[in-house]
Amino acid sequence: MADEPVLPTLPKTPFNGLGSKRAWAQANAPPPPSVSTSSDPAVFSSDDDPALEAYESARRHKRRYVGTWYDQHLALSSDSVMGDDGSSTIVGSSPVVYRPQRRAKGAVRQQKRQFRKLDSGVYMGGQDSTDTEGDVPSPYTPKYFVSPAQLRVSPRSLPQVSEAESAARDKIKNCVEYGNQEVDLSGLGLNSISAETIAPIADIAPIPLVVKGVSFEQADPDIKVYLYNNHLKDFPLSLVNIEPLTFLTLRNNDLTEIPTCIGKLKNLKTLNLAQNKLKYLPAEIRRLMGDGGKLVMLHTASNPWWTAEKLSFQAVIEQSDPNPLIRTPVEFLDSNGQIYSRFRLPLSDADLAESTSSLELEVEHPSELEMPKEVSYAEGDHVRLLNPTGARSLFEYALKALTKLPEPELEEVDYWLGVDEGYPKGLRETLNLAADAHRSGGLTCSVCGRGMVVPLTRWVEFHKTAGTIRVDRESLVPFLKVGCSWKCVPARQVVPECEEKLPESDD
Amino acid sequence: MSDSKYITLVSYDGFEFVVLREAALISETIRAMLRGAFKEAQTGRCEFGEIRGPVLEKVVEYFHYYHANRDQTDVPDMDIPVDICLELLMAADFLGLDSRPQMRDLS
Repeated sequence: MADEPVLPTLPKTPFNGLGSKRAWAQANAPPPPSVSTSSDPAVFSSDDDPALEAYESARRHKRRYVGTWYDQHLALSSDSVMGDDGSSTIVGSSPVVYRPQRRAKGAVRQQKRQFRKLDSGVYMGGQDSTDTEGDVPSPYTPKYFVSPAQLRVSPRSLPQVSEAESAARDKIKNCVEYGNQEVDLSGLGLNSISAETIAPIADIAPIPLVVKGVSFEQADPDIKVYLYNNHLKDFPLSLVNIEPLTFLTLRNNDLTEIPTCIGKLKNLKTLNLAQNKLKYLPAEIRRLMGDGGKLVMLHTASNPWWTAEKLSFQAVIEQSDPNPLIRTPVEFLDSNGQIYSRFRLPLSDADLAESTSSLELEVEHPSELEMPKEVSYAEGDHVRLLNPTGARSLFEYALKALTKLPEPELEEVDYWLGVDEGYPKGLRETLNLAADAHRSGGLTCSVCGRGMVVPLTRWVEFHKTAGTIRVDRESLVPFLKVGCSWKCVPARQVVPECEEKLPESDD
Repeated sequence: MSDSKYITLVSYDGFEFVVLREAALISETIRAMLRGAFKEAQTGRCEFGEIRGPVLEKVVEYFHYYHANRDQTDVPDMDIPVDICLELLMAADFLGLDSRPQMRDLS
């Protein structure tokens, strides 16, 4: 090293006449506290910096940062664009003006892009580190260090693992390591649980018992997940990817809904949903109880289930069925989510509060509900229902294509739908509904089994105990069923024919 | 003229599509345009000031797709390219191509 040729001394006036915003005189001052994430001393572009002489002696403490390096870069990228002398030819002559962005996310993205375009690749945190103070659109920009959180980067892009979740991860890791198939995550105070945490559960393989004289046999995995006594608000969707899951307890959580994709858990034998905030269950669980699955134990106690009184409907009771069945009338919607029937399901709390009048169940009369009475049409018009098993409407196709967009783009579309007045009003809700349905595994028609984007009919069936299924005695459990067209309704429902004249004598 | 078997749909950037009248009539909006004393009804030419050519092309494709499959079952779903799906959604909403109960005049 000592033999290396020494560079000739550089002229006293350095080459920063290219439009740097800073006067060189300032550079002679002791360097401001560096915000560099690197602990290396600055040796590249400021070799000629006289202040470097005092580098070691300066009261400079090594900064410590928590987190990953790219988090730091995210915040600092704009600095280097503005400040790096070596590459500031473009920037310096026309300083980049950061318009206040509508969304912080967009802002970050833009800064990032410029960072990539202009930066020489050697990042020197240094003298100009304070330049961006006015540029970052955050009112609480600290002097030198902008944390990603303050740039309002959405938490999803920078996942932060809560304490409870990291505890859960440890437990899962242990289970995977020792082949323990009983994953006990109970009482950890989990508010949510991410897909990354859950995914390793699928890797649990039982350690087969090897006994002399007994032929080796690979044991089938038989995974049990205990998630009781937590605060989960949403069903962890990634659980449905664990195919060998046979036992799942979510007792005493804050679940309000069970997604339809639970139908994928074909091996599930026991499902405990007691002490949650569920109002109804998806029809897919019914399918798991029947031929489609192995579910034999379903605990449903202590949930605010919909009851006949709460829904205030004229019930249809079909005694002929081996399993006694009470059914609500059918709710008819269009693909915009507008409801055409008098009967409405209280899918939001506000609706539920409104429906106060309670009708008594007419057990004796399984009255056939004639749909024309349920549906209100414009006067004098004739109705032609779309062919239920045929082509869908263009609206639905387009909606379906939209839900396939990657998540960030979908968010952007959702944002614009909310901001721009030019879009139809209900479109945003429809899109959200469709996106939710897509996320939770998609909807399938309860009647014809086709996949669909938005339900066009909805009704609730109340099921009681059947022979093999032990449903708790106290209540009938409501199962929400959905249909993909106005013809996809329970069997006894009468639907107006295509050419049928509408009841003009409707009184 | 107004009884021609075909009608012309014009996008705002000037693309023209000649469509079977019967197929296009599944759109409530187009039906309303072709009824009564509007210019469209006389010339059989509907101009859409908000729909781009590629989007209108997909709409026309849907008209024919629907027309061809109207009485069939188990129809394969139509494929929608992702890049125009939002515009198409808007167009479908504008043209009344969603599955709300459709009104039909028997005249």
